[in-house]
Amino acid sequence: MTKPRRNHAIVFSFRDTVEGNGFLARVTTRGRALLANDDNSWWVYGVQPGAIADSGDSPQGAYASFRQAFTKVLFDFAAGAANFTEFERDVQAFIAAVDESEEGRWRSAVEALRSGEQEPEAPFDQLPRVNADEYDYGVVVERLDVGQRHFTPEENRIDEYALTNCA
Amino acid sequence: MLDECAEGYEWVDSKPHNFQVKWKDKTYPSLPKGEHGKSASKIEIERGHVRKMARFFDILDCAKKALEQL
Repeated sequence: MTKPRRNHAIVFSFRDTVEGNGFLARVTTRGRALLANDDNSWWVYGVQPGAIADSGDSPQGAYASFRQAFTKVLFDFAAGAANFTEFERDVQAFIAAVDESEEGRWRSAVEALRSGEQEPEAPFDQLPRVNADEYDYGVVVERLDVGQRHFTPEENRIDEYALTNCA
Repeated sequence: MLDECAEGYEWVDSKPHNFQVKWKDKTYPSLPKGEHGKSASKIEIERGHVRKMARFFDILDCAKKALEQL
């Protein structure tokens, strides 16, 4: 019988629309994080971006808090940026900053699942799975308030998150 | 803790939602401002956030010595 895991490697995709000083921006992020039970709370620790975390009473609550915390960071960048260029620079730097020690724990969690050493318990067993090595991590920052910009409903995206899979 | 483990750090208190900490070439932009608002003398930040920041800055061993509760 396999032991329940305490750490869970997840990937996520967020799309945010942010109003700044004289600009409107869209930020599409594909990142990774570690879900862990620490101090009798559930925590989502950012791996990439690495400079963020948040907690909740349940895995779902921690994820919801993490999602909101992520948007708040973007709003802070917007408040401090004089223009779109500064905002884009700050967002790119934030997303690019990998937490290397967290990445080690994340990779261990991926390998534990991939090798079959451990199986995801509820509610993680209900999450979609993706291959950690094939996920395209990074961020796209677009300026939306430009002339001739054509909007379509096909550009709408719902948040996604998944457990890294076991091949 | 930062005084001991991240000498020369910069504490930024000008953002709407979070404190920022800058040290060396890294920025930690997501220390949430709690219920006590911006009063630096009443800052309460969950230790998970502090532990995460310490890991990000690679100063966790020093931080644990400075803050036993970590």
